[in-house]
Order: sequence, then C-alpha cells, then structure tokens
Amino acid sequence: MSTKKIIWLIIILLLGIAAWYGYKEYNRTNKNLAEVNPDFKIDAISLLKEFENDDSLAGSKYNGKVIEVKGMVKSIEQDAGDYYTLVIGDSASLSSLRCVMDSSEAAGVSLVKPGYQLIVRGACTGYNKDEMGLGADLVLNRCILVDKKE
Amino acid sequence: MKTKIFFCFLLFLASLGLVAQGKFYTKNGKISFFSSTSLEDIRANNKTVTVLLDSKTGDLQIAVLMKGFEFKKALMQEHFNKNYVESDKFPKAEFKGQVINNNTINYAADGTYPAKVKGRLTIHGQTKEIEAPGTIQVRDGKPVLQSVFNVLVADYNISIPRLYRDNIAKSIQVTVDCSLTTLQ
Repeated sequence: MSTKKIIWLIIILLLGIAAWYGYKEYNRTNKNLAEVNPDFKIDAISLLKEFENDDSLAGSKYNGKVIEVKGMVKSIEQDAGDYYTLVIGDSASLSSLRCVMDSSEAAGVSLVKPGYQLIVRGACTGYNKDEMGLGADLVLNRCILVDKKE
Repeated sequence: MKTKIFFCFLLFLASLGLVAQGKFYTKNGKISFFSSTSLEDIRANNKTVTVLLDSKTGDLQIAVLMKGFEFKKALMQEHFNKNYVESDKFPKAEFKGQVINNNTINYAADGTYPAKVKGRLTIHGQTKEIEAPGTIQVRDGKPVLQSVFNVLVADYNISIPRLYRDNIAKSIQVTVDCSLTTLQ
C-alpha cells in the first residue's frame, strides 16, 4: 500500500471517529445521578446556612454541581403524575431544601413520610432568596434517594 | 339569639371572603419554552417556578431559576446555561407585574376567566416591559395561571454564535402553567 493511500485511510478513519464522537455528544442525555459521584456531601442545615450567609459565594461553589445532602423531611409535595418534591430542613425555619425527585424514584419516594432522615443526591439548581415572604429555598433537581431512615 | 346567629353567619361569610380574596402561591410552577426552526426544534421545561399572586390587587410575582430548565439533550442544556443565558452570572429570571383585568376575575367562583398580565420581565440581566394574554382558571377555589406568549432573544441581549444562528429561533414561545394554592 502506498504512503498516499495510508494517509487517506488515516484521514477517513479520523473523520469517522470525529463524526461518531460528534453524533454521540449531540445526542447525549443527562445522566441518572445514581451513576454520578457527588461533588459535595453535606448536611442540609449547613448547606442552607452557607447560602443564607452569602448566596453568591455559595452559588458559585454549588450551583450546577451534584450534591449529596443529609436532612430531615419537613413535607412531601406530589404534583400531577409521579412528580414528587421532598422539602428538607429545619422544621422551625422557613428556609428549605427543595429536592425535585427524578421520576424513576417515585416508588421509593411515595413511602417517605415527614420526619424521616434522608440522604438525597441532586443537581444544585439555585437559591431563591425570601423576596416574596414565602421562605428561602435551595432547589436540587433530578434527585435520587440514597438512603432513608424512619 | 337570632341576632347572634345572623352575626355568626356574617362572620362565616367574611372568613370565606378573606380566604377567597387572599394570596395564592406555588413553588412547583411549570414554564417551558419552545424554539422552532427548519433545522431543529428545541424545548426545555422548568418545574420549579415560584409564583405569588395577590388576588385582591392582582399583583403577580414570578421567579425562575435558569438552571432549572431541563432539555432532552445535555449538550443543549450546557450551551443554554453557559453561552446563552449565562446562568452563573444571571441565575434567575423574574417577572413583576399585575393582572390588569383583575376586577373581572371572581376567585371565589370556579370557572375560566380570560386574563391579561402586564409587567417587567427580567432575563439575562435585561428588563423589558411585556404584556401577555392568558387565562386564570379557578378550580376548587384555587387559581391555575396559563399563558402562551413570545419573547425575542435580541430583547434580552442574548447573543447566539453564528454557527448556531439557524438552529435557534429569533422569537421563543414561552408557555406558563402554574397551579397555585392558598397562602395560609
């Protein structure tokens, strides 16, 4: 095989790999967080405190990151269908961690009751300061239940 | 005795009125947007929208965390947050305004009422006055806000790289669907 042919073969091979990578990357979906190692492990009250003290500093540290949080369930909200939000934190405080559960977690989450101690892993979406008198919230999305204790 | 019963009845009616004319809210409101071009359709959903409506005055406040928009494709979500709305710098979109025909809506009676909302919408640090049509559906004494309107990407200083300019519509359709509950 001539050198020219080998070079062409390599170019075609590289183009093929680039196209395959591009196609895979374009169609990549968000990973289920059960398969993702958390960037931070922290308890809910300390996490909320960090945001209360300086929300922009805490936001730059946690927003967009995967966090594993330990805390007590204050309430459970069920939306139309199987969308659950677990509200976690200190029941004496208006501030809460709102964990929007992944739909794949519905069966496990439906058994959770207020007062349970949980470990939840989720993607940190952001902090809503208490600007409307509804209490401040830190929102975690695509959450999965790591552990629960009654 | 009769007078006492009458006053009790009046008090009961007044308490009903207080509930019906109070404030309503949600932290699980839904807002989605849709961009359609000949090259591709892009849709993203946000299920964590905070809404506060004062049924007495028609004052309406909405807060949307930009990182809460979920796309089918992860790459689109990353581009949206990093390059277009710069959600690290501008984490929240906000609307502050009023239901301008609030006096035509009877929050105490179930039904679907046409509604017009006017106010200031802030996205990507840019604030624009907007007016959007919609409905307020009162179901079991609780309002459901629904609206579909368009926003222009250029109005909010969002620049799209030339490579993707044909993939993203200049006018984005926004759909609001928020079921509110009574604020105790």
